[in-house]
Amino acid sequence: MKTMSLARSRQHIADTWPTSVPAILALAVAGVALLNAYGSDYVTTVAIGVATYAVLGLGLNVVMGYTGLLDMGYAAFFAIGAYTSAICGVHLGLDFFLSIPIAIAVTGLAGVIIGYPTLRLRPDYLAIVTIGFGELVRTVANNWDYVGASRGLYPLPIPELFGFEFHSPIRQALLAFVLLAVAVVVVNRLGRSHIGRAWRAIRDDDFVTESVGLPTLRLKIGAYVAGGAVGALAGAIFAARSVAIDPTNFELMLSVQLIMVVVLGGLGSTVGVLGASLVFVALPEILRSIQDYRLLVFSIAVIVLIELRPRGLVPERTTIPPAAALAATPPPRTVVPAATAPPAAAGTAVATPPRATGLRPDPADGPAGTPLLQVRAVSKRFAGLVALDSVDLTVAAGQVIGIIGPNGAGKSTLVNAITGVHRCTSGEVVLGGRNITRLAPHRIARLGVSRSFQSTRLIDQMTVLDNVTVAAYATSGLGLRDALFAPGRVRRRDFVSSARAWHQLDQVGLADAAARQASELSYADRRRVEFARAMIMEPRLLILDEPAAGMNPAEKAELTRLLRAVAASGVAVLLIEHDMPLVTAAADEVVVLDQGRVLATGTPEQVLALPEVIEAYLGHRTDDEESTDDDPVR
Amino acid sequence: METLAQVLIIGFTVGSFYALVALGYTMVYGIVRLINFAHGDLVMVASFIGWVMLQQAWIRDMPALPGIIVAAGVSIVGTALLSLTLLRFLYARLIGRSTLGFLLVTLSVAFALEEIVKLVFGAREQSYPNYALATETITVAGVTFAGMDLVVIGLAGVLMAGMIWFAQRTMTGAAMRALAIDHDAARLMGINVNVLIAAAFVIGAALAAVTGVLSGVYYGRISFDMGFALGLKAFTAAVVGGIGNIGGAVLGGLVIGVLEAVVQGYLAGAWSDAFIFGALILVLYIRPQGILGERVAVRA
Repeated sequence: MKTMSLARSRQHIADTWPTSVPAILALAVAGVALLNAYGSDYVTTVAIGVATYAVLGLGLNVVMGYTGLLDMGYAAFFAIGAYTSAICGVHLGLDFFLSIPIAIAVTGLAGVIIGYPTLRLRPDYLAIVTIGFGELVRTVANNWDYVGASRGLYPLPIPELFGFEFHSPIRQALLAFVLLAVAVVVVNRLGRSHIGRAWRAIRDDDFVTESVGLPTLRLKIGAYVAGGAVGALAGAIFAARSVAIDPTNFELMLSVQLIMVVVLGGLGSTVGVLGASLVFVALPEILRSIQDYRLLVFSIAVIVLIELRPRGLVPERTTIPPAAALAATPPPRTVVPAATAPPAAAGTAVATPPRATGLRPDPADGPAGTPLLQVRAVSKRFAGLVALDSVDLTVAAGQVIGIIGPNGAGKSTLVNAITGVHRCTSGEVVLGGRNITRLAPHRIARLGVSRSFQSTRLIDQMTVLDNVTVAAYATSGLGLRDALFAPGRVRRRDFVSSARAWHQLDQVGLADAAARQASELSYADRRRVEFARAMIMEPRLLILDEPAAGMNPAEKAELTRLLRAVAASGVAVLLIEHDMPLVTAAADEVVVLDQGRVLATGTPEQVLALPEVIEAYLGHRTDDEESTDDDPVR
Repeated sequence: METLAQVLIIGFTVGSFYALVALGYTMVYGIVRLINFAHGDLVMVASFIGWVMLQQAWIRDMPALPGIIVAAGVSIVGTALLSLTLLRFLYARLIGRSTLGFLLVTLSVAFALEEIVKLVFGAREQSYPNYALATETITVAGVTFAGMDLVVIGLAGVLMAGMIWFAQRTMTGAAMRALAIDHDAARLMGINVNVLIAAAFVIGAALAAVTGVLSGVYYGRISFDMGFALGLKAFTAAVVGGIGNIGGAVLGGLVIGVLEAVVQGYLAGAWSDAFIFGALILVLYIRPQGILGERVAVRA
């Protein structure tokens, strides 16, 4: 018993020290003490350079390593931070330590102004806009007399705290290392929080991340601004230890070198960035002869690294809580009755009647039978092509509605219109009395609309457990403030989210696969993970796009039972499917789409008997065929 | 005293350079939806190949124009081969698999090329031979033009018209436009995607080579770090005009060139980069698809 608790506390320490202020500060102070004891002024100055570079690398790592956004003008944040701090000191006579929050605020504002228009667009646009932004800032600094134009801003006042002046290299090193410690704690706390998981999900597939209820645009802007704020901190360190700053300190080349530091540090790794900064700054000091070849060597190193590991550039370093601990934590809400879980879990419990579930029984939804989703005269045109033509559809809580139709009938477009992926050309979508036509996909998801994808979409570079946990983002009740100031609460709540995810995986028989990479799963298992992910969002409306594709008859039978059970618990289900026997067995009502229009609505039996439905599927009967109607061969 | 006409001529000349480079970006982007950051540095490599050729005794013995044409021809072949080699050994395996990887590799290739050229030829500028044409002027209706301005604009105009004809009137051009719209559908129609990607890289490299040699002759000086900034502005031009759209690259190049010339001619010259990148950010706010572009805000 004792060894186990010892192991557990060791695990606890391993989990918590990277986000602990005292632990990181102690390391920083120990570093300064070492410099004081053994380092010359020269070594100390180089160490300050390493610390400045490291802070910059850590900030860029949030943008590039965590979130996968290429920022090519990161030096702009460094410049804005340094100049703001310097302006506060030189022109406004403000205290240095007061200038730090001002520098961070100004940089953050710049980040929002640049990030908002750009991050809505394709990811590579950020690269080009940030280059432009970097050059813009430098050009302004180079020409604006208020900041000294090309001469730069000087003399910068010496920072002073309660009479303690940071005038000697070792004192400046103390300041730089303490600020480095702050940066380390901030990026570690963000990276290990629910926000960090959301960023990694965005890095791999922002479309899926949005569809499971995460505000991806806001998260991307958040990453860009957070990275910028850390850059401002580096700017302040730079201003503190310099006599003057001028525009040559903030050239494009600096941004490029920082990108190389982050890539060579392993994209996403704090320790890697610290190590790469040390190599990048200190090595050329030791080996003067490589000074001239530094850029060449580092460019080639980046090329080799990426070429050798194009996919696995970002090694995922997530620690999965032990299964036993997850299993021991009762989920706050049971979602799918065990009796109706898919095949793999089917053997465990057989005839338990469906339990009452915690699926948000929204009072506004009314009793089963009240319309939950109403699609009213929705049309969608893509440049002349009419994909949906005035489609009407009503789904009530507890009902399974099947949507069938030949390929190209507009089934997936309808799903995309309901879930906010496509903006309807006309018409409206109402969920539980609320018009959701113009809401962003993540808002619709948060209102209780979960979906699966026709071709399964998981976040391949994440573990199976994280794939489900990430969808609990909206319901975790955690915010940015928790991530920054309450790592303990984040860990506890996150553990609860993981436990919920684990139970969802258990329901679909995949608890054993929780720690595996999603990319390793078979096709059928990927569908199961998608189902678990949809269910952890506690949907009111579940939309499944061809869930039976690739399933064998036994699995299809299980799926049918599962759908009926989910519906019985009060969830409305929209089932898009080609498999007629499945639709007939599972659906209360069937809607037939053809060429974007609703061709027929009714019970499966009624609809499948209609001649126009048969025609839409099998084609028009020719006169020739009609004349041979009596042919005995038929 | 610079008149508006002269400012515009300079704008069109510089804009023609931007447009030729922007065409290279846009062709590759149209097919693979990726930015090739090394493209600007192909211009630099091309102008160095041209410079090396023009130092050769047998070319120096030729009259000016044939000499330049031979040098440009060698430069086109060399740059295209370099581009194909990079595509084959470094880029191909990243296309469609890792966007960030592609961007980072092309960025690193850009700086590796610069560093290698710096190692071989030194950090200082190299001079192209002086040509009479480069200093000759023509006066039309009271406006004095440099002869070279007209050569650059004329040659660029012919190449751009050729590109537009190629895209609109040839099978290969049609296949490229199809690829830009839908990779899978195009593949099913029997279009060999890899061949077209290679073709786009070769055409882009050839246009970069023409730009490199032409700018060497026009400005008289080249240096190892001339490519990246040029590439940056050309890419800005492609985005402003509508990336992936050949007409957009031409229009964007001319718009950026004229904007730069007007700012330098009438306002503070040192601020021109701020205007260009400010314009880029403004365009992305108001019309993210660019002047002639398709919608780029992807949500699906």
